[in-house]
Amino acid sequence: MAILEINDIHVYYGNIRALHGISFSVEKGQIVTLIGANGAGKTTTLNAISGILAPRQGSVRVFDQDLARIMPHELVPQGVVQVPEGRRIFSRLTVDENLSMGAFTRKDKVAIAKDRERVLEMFPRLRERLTQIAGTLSGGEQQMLAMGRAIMSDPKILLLDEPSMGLAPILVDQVFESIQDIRKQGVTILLVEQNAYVALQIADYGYVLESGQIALKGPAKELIKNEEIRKAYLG
Amino acid sequence: MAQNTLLHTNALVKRFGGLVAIDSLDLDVKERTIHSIIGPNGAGKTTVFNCIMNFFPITSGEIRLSGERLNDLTPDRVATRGIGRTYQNIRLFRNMSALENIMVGMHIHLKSSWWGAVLRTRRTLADEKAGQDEAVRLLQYVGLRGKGDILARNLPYGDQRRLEIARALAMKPKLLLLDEPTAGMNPSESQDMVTFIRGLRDELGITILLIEHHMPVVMGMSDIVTVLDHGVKISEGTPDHVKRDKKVIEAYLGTGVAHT
Amino acid sequence: MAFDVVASTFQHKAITKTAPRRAIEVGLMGFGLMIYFNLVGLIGQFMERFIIEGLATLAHTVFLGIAIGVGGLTSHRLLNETVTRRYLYSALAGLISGCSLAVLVFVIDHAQGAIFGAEFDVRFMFVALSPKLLDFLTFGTAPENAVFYHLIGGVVLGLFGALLYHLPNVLRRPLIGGLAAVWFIGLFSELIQLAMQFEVVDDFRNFFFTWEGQTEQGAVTVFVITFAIMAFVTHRGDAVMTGFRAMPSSGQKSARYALYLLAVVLFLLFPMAAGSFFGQVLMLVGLYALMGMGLNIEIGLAGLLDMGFVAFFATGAYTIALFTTSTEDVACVTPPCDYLIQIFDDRSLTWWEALPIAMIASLVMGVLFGIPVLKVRGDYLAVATLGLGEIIRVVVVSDMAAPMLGGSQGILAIPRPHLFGFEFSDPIQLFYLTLVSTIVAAYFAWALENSRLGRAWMAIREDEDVGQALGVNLINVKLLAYGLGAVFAGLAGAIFAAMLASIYPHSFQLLISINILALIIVGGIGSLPGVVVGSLMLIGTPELLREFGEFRFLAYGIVLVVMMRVKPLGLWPSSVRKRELQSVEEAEALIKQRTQGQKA
Repeated sequence: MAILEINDIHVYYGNIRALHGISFSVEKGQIVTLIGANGAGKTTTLNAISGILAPRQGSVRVFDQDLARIMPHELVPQGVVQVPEGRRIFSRLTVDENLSMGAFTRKDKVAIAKDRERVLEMFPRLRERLTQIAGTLSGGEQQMLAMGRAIMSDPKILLLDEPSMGLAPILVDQVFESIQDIRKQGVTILLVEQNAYVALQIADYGYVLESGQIALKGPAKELIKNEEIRKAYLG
Repeated sequence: MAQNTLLHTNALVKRFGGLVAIDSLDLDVKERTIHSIIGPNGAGKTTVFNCIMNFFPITSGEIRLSGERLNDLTPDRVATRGIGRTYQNIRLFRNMSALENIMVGMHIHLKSSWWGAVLRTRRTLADEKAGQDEAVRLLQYVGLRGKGDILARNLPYGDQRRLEIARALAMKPKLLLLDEPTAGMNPSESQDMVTFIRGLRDELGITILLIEHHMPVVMGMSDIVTVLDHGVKISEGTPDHVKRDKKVIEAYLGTGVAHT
Repeated sequence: MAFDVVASTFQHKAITKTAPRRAIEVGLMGFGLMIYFNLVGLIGQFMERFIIEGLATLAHTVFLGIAIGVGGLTSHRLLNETVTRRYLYSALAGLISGCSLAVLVFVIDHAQGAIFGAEFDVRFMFVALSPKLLDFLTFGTAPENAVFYHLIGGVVLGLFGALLYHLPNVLRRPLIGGLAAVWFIGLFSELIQLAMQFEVVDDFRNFFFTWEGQTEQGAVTVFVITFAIMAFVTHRGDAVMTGFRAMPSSGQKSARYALYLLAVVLFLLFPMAAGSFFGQVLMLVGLYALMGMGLNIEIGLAGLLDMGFVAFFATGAYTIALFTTSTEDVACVTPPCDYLIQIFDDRSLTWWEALPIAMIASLVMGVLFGIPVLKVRGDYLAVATLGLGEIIRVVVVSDMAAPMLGGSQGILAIPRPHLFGFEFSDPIQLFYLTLVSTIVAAYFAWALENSRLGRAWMAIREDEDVGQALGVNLINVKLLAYGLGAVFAGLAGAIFAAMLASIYPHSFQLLISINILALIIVGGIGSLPGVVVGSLMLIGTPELLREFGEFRFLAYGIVLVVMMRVKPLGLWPSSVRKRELQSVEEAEALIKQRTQGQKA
């Protein structure tokens, strides 16, 4: 069963059409990646799924419910969690407090502690900085914190926007390994990434967006061999 | 290629409380080169930039531009000496138009005073006009022709990066500090940026100090690469030299796919 | 940053709710409003004030307006339902809001009594629930009947609201316009009559008004005329506009300019014709607009939140007072001021001579004010400036400065400005002085905004660090913002001193700073026309509603909240000027010229 179903959505910013008619569905436990140039509509698609933007036409169905009937703040407890681009962390709170905020809607203290340990194992850097004010972290460290906070909210569907942005190459490897780990625990992942090569390597399925439409789609293993894509996105 | 040194830091140290962000860094940036700083996250790369601009007082050491000591200057004074910069997380004047952003970049080169503006003196009007023409030219140079009246925050991401560079160029800098100019760009967009940055060096004669994580970008265009880890320089040299350095591979590059 | 908070608008997600829930929500809104207005005594006051004499009071119109509005709003919110169901839900919402009056009738009727032997009196808590109000709410019939009438009335008015909503534009607009015109003219009937104090119009005036309100024949005439005009505009307006567009562009331009000119002339003549009350109101609007422009430089352009702005206003006023009054009134013997007295002992300055001094004094005050808060940012700045402003006021009232500034007694007998033997004495003449000052100041503000300094201000508003890294000297630029902003307030203070001819420290309360801040936000931060619109709205309107006493501040508060909800960018937001496109062509020509020059 598809746990996330996007059906012909059209999104506008004012009068500018950002998405015209995007449809796809994501099965439970899959990693699906959206790739494409800047301004192709990747982030807009994520924002429509996480309820930040309302599509003018079309529907988004999460766990077989219409998104239009769910309030944005109800999405996280339902398990839909977005890691926004640009590291929107709580910059005046400490690293530890940021992580706790991720688990804001959860009650089970034991499970929360377990997840916290998992995050700190994934990003040892964060353990060193637990008491530091998050705003004083370096850019890459903030990126790790944003991911960590998302994992703390025990997601069922994780929407990742450019997780590799601003990370050192060695960390990019680590982050993508942990994304695969997260998937193994049954989390479904929708991944937006400029580093298309890495994204396609870990994804099951990929969609190439071009000016608000799906230009190409297919199993990631096939896309990675596609000559056009190699030329345009893999460098 | 025996060039003169443009920027020199001598035993630069910066501590935040107990945390040593930069430890005794000697940096020697030659004129008309592209010099990259790479290193793990939190290694202190952006802190180096902030020290050069003197955003906060350095703990000890010395920074010199063409021999002149920068340590005691306020950031606006440093700017007048010919250093422009961009920011990791794009810091444009979001509620001003693209053209206005660039014209703020020209602040130190425009001479008009506020009473000149009120009295509309000929000199002020001519100065403003010249500035505006120059700004339009810069817009074209970075490929944003016709987008000058759009508010900066409404520009797409890639255009914002270009605008930020145009704003820095408006200062007519000798040294340009670029903080992850290709962050969030896909490989082909990054390649365009590489060509563009090379042009800055070759056509405009600007020296470039660059922080970057995309290895194809760094290795493809740098003359010299400096590697920082925990605020300490662990390696320095040509891209080929650095790429093979064991310490660099261990601390930074890793053996995975990301540096392809 | 304060600016960001105001400037950013969020795109809200629409949440689907069921139709009955929406209808009930809207109905309860009306219910709450009606109860509230009754409890605070608003209705008690409004029921004595006729909109149409002997027929409808202001209180009636409030009830009608709420119930009809509830009906219309319900229909508007249920666009996905069928028309019949929309009427049904509107009636339901109307019924709910009508319930409020029914409940009130019941409560007042049983205001006193005993429950389980304990005596109670509702009026002990809610003074406004008087027998008079009961009379008003029951139309003089038995309370049991009135309860019934209110419920029926709610349903009928809810349906009427829905009907209004569903009428075609050609009918709806004139209908609403006509009713609104009658209401406004009734509301301001006293002021309109004040403005019509010429014998030639006596008969005309008496046809429309009595001193109690509008006459019935007047209301009907107003309604018919407005209805006709609006119907014509709605029905034929497009055709007229097409005709206008079909005119050659030069003709269009001259027609437009003729219209502007007419508006300006009418505006200039209005206070002269309407009398000194309006002159005074408009003058106050002008003074606040002046100060708004000054504060706009600090907040709108430079992003420096300033809650102590009134200090500069006071500086201007006090400087004028000090230099124009004769020194005999000032008993001062301590060193700095006895020296000053000697200088001006022979003669005190005229208002015009003192004006530049006042403006320079406020500039200096602005700069001095800015120095201690240079390093303070954002929200903290509001608190710091609040403190500074209060310090200045307290110093003025203090015994220390009393010999010079007159303490709480103030300074009296400030001479009026003269110009070529003409004395600016009554409010209308001073209004014209204010108007000229405001226009000059607006030009200054506009020129500053479009200058290198203006851009530097905006840059530090957006991001102080980045601005500094681009070479903007923060100290100079910030102090100039405070100093130049203060000059506008100093000018306003100078005129204010001339208007009152005497000044007291209590004229310079914190409330003035807050008012100015509110008016530039309502007008649209960073926008010059916005300052004028905001001033008319927040300073002018409450003055016109003075007869309603404290309740006008209720209107003020409602306006503020509603404005921020529906127009978060202000009534007349600033727009980015188009400059690139016009200079692209010129620049291209220039480049071509240069490259050709190189080739040759």
